[in-house]
Amino acid sequence: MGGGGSAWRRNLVGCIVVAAGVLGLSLGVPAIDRAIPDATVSSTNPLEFADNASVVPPPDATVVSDQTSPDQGVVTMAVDGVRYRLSAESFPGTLQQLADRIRGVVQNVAGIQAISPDQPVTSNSGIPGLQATYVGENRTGWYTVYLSDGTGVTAVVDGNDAGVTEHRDELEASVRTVVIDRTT
Amino acid sequence: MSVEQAATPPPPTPGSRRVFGSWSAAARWPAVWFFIALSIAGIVILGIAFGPAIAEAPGAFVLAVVLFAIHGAVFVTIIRAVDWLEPEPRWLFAAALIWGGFVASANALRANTALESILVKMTSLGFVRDWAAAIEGPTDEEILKTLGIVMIVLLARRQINSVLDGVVYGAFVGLGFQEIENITYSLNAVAAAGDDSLSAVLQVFVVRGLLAGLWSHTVYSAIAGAGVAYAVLHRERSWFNRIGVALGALALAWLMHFLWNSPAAASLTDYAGSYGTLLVLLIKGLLILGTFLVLLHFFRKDEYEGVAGPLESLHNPWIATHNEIVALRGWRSRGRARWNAYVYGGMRAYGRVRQLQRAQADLAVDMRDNGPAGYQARMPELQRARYGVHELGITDADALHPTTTSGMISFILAFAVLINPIFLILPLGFLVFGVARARSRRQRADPRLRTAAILALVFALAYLVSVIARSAALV
Repeated sequence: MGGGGSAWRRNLVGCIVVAAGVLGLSLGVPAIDRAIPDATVSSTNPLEFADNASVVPPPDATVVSDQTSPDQGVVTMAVDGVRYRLSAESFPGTLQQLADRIRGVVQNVAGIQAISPDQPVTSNSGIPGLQATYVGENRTGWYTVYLSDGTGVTAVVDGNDAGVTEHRDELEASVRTVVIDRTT
Repeated sequence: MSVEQAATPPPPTPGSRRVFGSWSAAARWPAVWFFIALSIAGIVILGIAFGPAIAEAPGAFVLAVVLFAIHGAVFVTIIRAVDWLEPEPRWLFAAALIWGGFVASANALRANTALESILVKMTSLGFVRDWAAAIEGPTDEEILKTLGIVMIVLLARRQINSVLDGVVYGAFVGLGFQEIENITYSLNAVAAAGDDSLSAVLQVFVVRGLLAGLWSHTVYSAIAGAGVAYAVLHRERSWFNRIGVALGALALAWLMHFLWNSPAAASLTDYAGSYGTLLVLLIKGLLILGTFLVLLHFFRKDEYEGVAGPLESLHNPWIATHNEIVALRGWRSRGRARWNAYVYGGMRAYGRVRQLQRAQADLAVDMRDNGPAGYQARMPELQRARYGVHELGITDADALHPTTTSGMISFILAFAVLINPIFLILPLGFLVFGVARARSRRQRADPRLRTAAILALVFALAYLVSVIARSAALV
């Protein structure tokens, strides 16, 4: 009567194959992702991080792929450990409202000790914006918001004191290269 | 007797649809434990991923669960109607739903995130923006859902008796995935809105449930299920043929999913705006649904022939007349036979014809699967059902029906309800008058009178829901 045992073993083998397929996708694909290094981006050509928004990345920046969502208009770059996140979205409010929103988010981050008042800035392409600097426990950064034709772009630079200080100039230069195309 | 032998599902018992002889036998079957373990892991993954979002917006979560549960129930009813000739065990349906909803969706969440990250590393952001959804979704999700159909085969191989069975189990796996994905999309929409927003949930329900729901995961996985069932059933064919057909069906499911997610014809939306978007979605959706319905027609025909053959071979009108066998073919013809009975003898006659149809289908399926033993096991049930119908004076529960002008007018008038719900009274009036006249003259009534009344009621209900939704939006 080997039929029952044979069926049981075939079932077990089938189950192992199915489980291997599931785990292959659930664990294997993330493992492949981790094995591939983040891509370096050009610091001379504009990077289109949304349908109608682009930025020229700073030198030696890599795209942090697992914190980047192109379909949502979000890109996160890393420069020597400093994170540089840009997001573009449709925003029906005012520039100040856009700034207030990101200020609220930053204030709620643990360890943030002080945020400067918003200062007016202008991008290289003439888009009006607001900017504020914040400091926290061994970290610092700033946010910049631009608003043009109902599209808001938020850029946040965040990192440890040494890293931000070292790369401040190129990061500030990059933030000023934000371009928002007119939506038709 | 070894443990392995005790755990092996016994040969099918005529007259019964049980898969395992007992709970302890089920507990010794490897597939049961693999299924449970993977399901628990899936629930944990989803809980970790969406637990905070649920805690942030409990009201929206409850609304999403309720709306998509109702949405899913409609699909369950449709799939059960397709599966009427040989209904599958409910616990297997539940298993298919659980796999789709928890195992496939949870693991797809991880795989999709990783695959998008890989695409970001290896291609441009613009490419990822346009094509990531078209590549990730079909690749990860279709494979995971198809593995669920294979798991159903491992749980209960003997329940797969026709290609249509694979379609049905595949549809249930896809439905589970679709509804859980809809709920997670609702939570994401609420999070994007920034509060416990019910309107974001309603928006997701309209877009994903109503506009895109008909040609979604349920359809894709049903196609993949057909391939798995073919591979399981056609053991007389070569491995190459069986695996080839299964992979071909999976490839078709992938292609349908890819088509839906792809930015194909997106340029049309640039010129034609939101109407262009809707048109593109409609064309894609109808292409997917149309392909599926054509295939489904052949799968259903195949299953019907498997049922009609044994009944016809008996040449016994007491068991089933030729017209009754013809009436078993589809839900419309079965419904028409019951409608004839209703017009003739009211709800009691309707119910008894339904019982007769059920008994005839069960007898045919058991004869197909178990031969004379199946015939013996199912005959008492059929005898009772036949006596019940005979007692009311119905000798032939056929689906033959007249086509009348009043039926046509009533059908057209049903659409008037879209203009004003007061017109509901017209199809209902035609229905009451038509049935009363047919009964008084001992004639049959046009089934379109009933169809028109149901359609008008659905339109009236939709109108009522839209009024309530508008009121809620104003508040």
